[in-house]
Amino acid sequence: MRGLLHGGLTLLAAFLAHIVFGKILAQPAFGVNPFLVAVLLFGVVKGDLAGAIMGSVAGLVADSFSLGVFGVSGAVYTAVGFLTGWISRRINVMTIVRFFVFLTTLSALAIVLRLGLTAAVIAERIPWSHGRLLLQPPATALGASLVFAVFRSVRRRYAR
Amino acid sequence: MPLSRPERNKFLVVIGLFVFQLILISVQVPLGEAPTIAERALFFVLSPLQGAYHAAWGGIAKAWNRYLDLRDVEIQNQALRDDLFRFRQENLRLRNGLLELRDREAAARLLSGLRTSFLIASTIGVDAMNVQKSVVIDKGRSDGLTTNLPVVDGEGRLVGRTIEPISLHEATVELLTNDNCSFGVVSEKSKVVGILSGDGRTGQCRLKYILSSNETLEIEEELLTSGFDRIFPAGIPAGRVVSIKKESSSFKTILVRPYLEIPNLNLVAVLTGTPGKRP
Repeated sequence: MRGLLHGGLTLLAAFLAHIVFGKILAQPAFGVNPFLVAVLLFGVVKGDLAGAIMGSVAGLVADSFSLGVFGVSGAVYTAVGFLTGWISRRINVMTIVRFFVFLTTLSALAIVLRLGLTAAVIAERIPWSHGRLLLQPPATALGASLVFAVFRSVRRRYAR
Repeated sequence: MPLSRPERNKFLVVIGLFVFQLILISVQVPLGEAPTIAERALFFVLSPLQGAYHAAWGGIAKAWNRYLDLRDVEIQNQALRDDLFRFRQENLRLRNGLLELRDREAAARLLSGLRTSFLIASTIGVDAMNVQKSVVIDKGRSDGLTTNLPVVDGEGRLVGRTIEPISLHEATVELLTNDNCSFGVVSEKSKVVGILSGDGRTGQCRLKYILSSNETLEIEEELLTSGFDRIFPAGIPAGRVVSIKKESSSFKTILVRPYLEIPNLNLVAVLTGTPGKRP
């Protein structure tokens, strides 16, 4: 029940970030996707199964506000959410550099999977945006790292 | 090593979720960009949240602005009175000019239609996955919106058109930079007619079907809607030509920079009934 509440709140926070900062964050120059940030963080904090469920729901929410194929983000985020939780339980990713590299890799994987799946089902061309698409993984990882840092410091304060 | 039962169950749930998404994809693919029932349902449930946030934030911002505005309200009031007087005079002259130029009844119909011919809306959401494709506005079916209504920005420049899903108080606007968005345009000076198509990869547009032999179109020339597509009325500025290339094919490759600026797209006007639209 508590996990459900946490998941709901995380999704709500991502949705609010999407509403409030959507126009700025979605620009290729920033490339931060609040839904992907939520999936990555939930996967790291709660584990693989929770990451997959969060990915599934957050992906569908993102898809419902997108003209892309409904279900593509759901499928991709399910896989990424699961992998985030699964890998983070097997290797130590809790140092700053490792955490950033880990999330950058998974964000890049999310983009590759989404482009691959979209290209496979509707033969859509890749939206490179003059190469700025490549900025999205580190930008998303940076966003997620910042949110995680805030989350950890708040948790520590409450634990004392 | 065999998996334990909880591990196996976990993998089954994840595979189940993945298969569920693949089923959704397989339902969506034959429909193209038309939304499925599930997508419509999610949009109907979640889009009011966007509207509620913007209404609340708008209320706070308005209250704050009212407080600040109190200081110089007298000066502004005087300036607005002057403006109003001038606009009334201009309006009167234009009305008289119009009545002289056109058939009286047609002119009266046009003037009565002007006030209800557009609807002001705020953009309350962008497409997080494909920023060049669509935005969500805070007007919907209850405001009389349907699909295929032209949308312009504050300067009267083309933004796109309304498409499904449209809920009671929110609607989706397909941007002119979307890959599937195509419409007729005509160049301002040389009167070259072509089809402007979105290019989601670059956030620009392509002017199609201009023969390689055509030499009249120039860089920086403005493109206006032609009205031939029967969706967009004629004469709406859409963008400027940025590059013209001759390639081996029969047609030129022409890139167009649209006027559309998503970060500055706070208010838009939906043209609900467009006087002077081509029949």
